[in-house]
Amino acid sequence: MLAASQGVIFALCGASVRIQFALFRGFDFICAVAVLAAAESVVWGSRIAVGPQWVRAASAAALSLAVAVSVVAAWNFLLDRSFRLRSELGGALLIFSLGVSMAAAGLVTLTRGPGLRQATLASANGSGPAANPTLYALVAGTAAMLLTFTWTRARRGFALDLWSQDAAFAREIGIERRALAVGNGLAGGMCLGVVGSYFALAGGSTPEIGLPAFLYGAASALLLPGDTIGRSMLGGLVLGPVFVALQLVSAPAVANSILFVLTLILLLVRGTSRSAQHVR
Amino acid sequence: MSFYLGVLAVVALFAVSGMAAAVLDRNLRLTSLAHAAVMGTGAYLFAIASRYSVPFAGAAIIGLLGATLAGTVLVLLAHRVVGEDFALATFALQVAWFGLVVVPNPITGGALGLGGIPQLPLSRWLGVPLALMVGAGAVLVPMVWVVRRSERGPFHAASAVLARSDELAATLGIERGWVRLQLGGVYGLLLGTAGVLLASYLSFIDPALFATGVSVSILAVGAFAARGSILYVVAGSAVIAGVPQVLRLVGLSPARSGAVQLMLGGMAVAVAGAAWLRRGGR
Repeated sequence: MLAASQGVIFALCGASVRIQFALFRGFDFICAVAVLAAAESVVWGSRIAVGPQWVRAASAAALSLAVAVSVVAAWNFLLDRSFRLRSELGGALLIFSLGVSMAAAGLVTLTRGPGLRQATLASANGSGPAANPTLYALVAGTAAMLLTFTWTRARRGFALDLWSQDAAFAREIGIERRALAVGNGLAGGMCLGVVGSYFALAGGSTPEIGLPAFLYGAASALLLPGDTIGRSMLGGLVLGPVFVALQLVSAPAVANSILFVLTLILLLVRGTSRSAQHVR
Repeated sequence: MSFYLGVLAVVALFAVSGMAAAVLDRNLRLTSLAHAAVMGTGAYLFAIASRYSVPFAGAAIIGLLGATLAGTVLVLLAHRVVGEDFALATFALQVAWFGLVVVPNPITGGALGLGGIPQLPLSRWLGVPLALMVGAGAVLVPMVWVVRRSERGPFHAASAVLARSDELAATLGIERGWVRLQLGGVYGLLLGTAGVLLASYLSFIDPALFATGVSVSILAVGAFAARGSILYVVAGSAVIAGVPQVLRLVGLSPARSGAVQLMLGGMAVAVAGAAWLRRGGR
């Protein structure tokens, strides 16, 4: 169960990182910001909501989804309107979004203090179905995954796929990023909302919670060859259980380190320098 | 008085480490997100050597050599990955390094860190903050001179070609590996110096001192000198590292002061990134 739930979470991270990559041709740390916003929303939502546990859990999860979707959709809208993004500007986007995500983490620390904040719904053994993070990941995560996959098979999803493969050709047949930015932001935001809620329910929220989620997503997106959202989700479904297995044989921090070293190796093997790709 | 000296010492430390980021950016246009890991490698090696009763100078040399090696290896990654993938690779390296250091173990001390690190020998006469400033100045002043001189010479021209195009550099007969090796060495040496100075200043280190946020702060300080004079790293360091410290005078707790530093660093990096996006290239 745990391995499956981690697989789903990794798949959602991978899908959202890939959606942003396809839109703006760069790794986008807004994924980290959205996860942080969603996790903090669950913590605060669980404290202000009233009623039985399942009502409070559902309210907190709904709030976190709404917040994450708003964050990503607004970001995509503003990014699309504000900058003339070209294909080679992935580095600039990464730096810009990293700065924004760090400023957001700093702001969260400044306003509510450093360290861990736990949702009042969370319990070590899962005191009810609504507060059980594994079950939440399996049910809400699988639903989000299926919705995202269905989205990629729909018109806008195909348009995004085409845009990511060849922007010039996509423009020629009338596909503009402007039309894709917000809609795909909604899909990515939904995935990140579920991830943030899961993290908050499983262990609580810290200001740095978004960074590992981003790296899980990057690793999932890079794992399998092919630049489609489906492949990224598949990569996550493979990587999640591997991560759980690593956690069984080593400390969680070591498992994280192994995973991130794997990300580094994947990047090195793929190689983006011209000499690595033998471009003459 | 000692508080202000302490603030100046922190500013000097960040200026040295920010210079490392600026050297990398100005010459090879590489954005590393593992500054803190390289700095931490130097600091930890220095601290570990000191625990094994290695004299101060020997321990410092071990720390500097370790950081130089780490910096060189990091820059050599650019042989395979460039641009955003280089940044992402170094970010993964930074997080992986942090995870390995923070795990409870007798060598690095885990999250509790290592204590009892010897202070700079000069601090007996000058006091700890002033000794650190002298140490940082002894590195910073000659490095500013070296960077300014090299930027008017053929080495900078060679690195500029390499930053632009690997195959053009090869066509012109530029030893790509050798240029990267030299710049990586300087980058690692500067960060190693900052790490050794930090460890000896605090007499204590723990992983939190070398977290991702610190890498971003160093990147932000370096961004101040991405264009214009290399001396802007001092101004950048005063803003990013100095202002949060001064805010402690109005009652800000150390944790919240750290949050302000992270915010300022993030905002500076975001502004640099936005300018890059607006320009349509570096």
